[in-house]
Amino acid sequence: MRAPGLLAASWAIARKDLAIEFRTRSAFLSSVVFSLLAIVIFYFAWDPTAVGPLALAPGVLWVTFTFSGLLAMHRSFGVEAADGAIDALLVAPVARESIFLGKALANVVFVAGVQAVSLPAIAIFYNVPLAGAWLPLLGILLLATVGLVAVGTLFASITANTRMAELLLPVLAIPFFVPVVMPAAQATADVLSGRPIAESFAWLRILLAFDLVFVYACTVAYPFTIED
Amino acid sequence: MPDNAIYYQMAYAATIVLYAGYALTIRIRRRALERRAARAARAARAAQAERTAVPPSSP
Amino acid sequence: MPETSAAPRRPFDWFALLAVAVTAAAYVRAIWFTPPEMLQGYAQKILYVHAPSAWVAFLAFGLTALAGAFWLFLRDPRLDRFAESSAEVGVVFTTAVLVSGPLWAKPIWGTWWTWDARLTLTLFLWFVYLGYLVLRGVIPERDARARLSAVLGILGALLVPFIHLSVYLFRTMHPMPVVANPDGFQMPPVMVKTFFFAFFAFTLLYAALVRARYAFATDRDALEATLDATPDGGR
Repeated sequence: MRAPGLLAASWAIARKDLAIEFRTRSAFLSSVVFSLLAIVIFYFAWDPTAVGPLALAPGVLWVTFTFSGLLAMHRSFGVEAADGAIDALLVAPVARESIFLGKALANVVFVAGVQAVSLPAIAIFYNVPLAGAWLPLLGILLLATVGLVAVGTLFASITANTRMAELLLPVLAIPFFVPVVMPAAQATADVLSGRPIAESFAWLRILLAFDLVFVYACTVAYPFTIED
Repeated sequence: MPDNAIYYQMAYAATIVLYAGYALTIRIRRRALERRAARAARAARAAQAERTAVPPSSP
Repeated sequence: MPETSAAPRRPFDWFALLAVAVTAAAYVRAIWFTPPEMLQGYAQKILYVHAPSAWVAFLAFGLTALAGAFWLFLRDPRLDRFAESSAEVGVVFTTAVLVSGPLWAKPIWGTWWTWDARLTLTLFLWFVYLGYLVLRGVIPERDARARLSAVLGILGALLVPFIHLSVYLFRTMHPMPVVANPDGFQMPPVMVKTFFFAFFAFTLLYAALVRARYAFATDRDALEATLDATPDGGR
């Protein structure tokens, strides 16, 4: 059997993870319910007469995405820990980089699925008009999600080696989310308040640069996190 | 000139305490290490004495 | 009989004494032999400990990342011990920056904290390297600890420009409360000398602390190696 190429192997691993996810659906449902709960609870954390819901929405959106994303990424290596499944994956004739890319790809799909539910939810609950802004918003979401997932997946692999992964993952990952969540929330706020996307290009450039640097760095670094 | 000497006194005191305190933690850890090494050495000597006292035929 | 030379009494550390003496001299010079600045008053003197501490903090984290990167290729335990020591000392210096910064900002800017680009960057570096130390603390195997913390240290160094850029952009796009900008004032030569002397002193202090912490790590690893070699675990 010929060993598959980097992208083919990544795709196979992503499909495996998504198939597991699709059969159980429990993690996805919990993440969706978690983000809906967060959106609802945040609404009551501010005085709506002092701060309008439209001003709150971007912050709530990105805090929600960050934490529900962390849930997904923590799971992506937790699921391999059981029965030593990761060892089976490591002896497979694929480049280790493709394991990372496959896991990250599955996490992007997972997080995008959660966003597909929580974005309309926030539009309804916070009365945010998405109609004119959905295309730029989609671009911001994609750029930011790729960065979040790259860093989060690598740190999930690092912390999977420890006894307190669920606590350590957010502690390590959240400082790295700052240059993603801040530009994403700012650009979202600009777009939602009806300003043209051109005004957010400075933010989008940071997101794009972060994606390029950290997707590459995390892919290269990943094999170092799984040596036996 | 504004009267704000108290802030600089606090900052200097805080940094001195911080640096000296950290140096002290290295010293304390070093002492604990030395005690641990001494304990291990004593245990090793005792085990050695036991081995030489007992005839070699015993397991 | 296993050799019990682990954790020997080290000879007196003359370098540490020198570093302490020079640092004490820097404090003495800053307190008694440097005049206060006209506009800011005595609070300006905080600069003499704040800025050198910040320089050392960045130096420490840069060297931690560098040592980690070299470890990944050379697998030399000395590099890992250095990374461990430098990161810990760096966190101490960062704490000094985060304590002295607000103590200066309160009388001069009128507020304990502003989301200034450098201040925010320092705060997040502090978080990253606290996480680094926590991570080291929860991995018992020496090799895995070195490997995973090296990856974290390198990514931490990559993060610095991104945090700085995004916070800088955040500030330029949002009007901040107008504060006097005291960074631009010209220091007379006596202050400049104190300033650079403090940089030298704190760098020396960093080297001495890392050296002491490194010696501790060496002896600890040596003791653990002897205990592992002893059949009864050395109890």
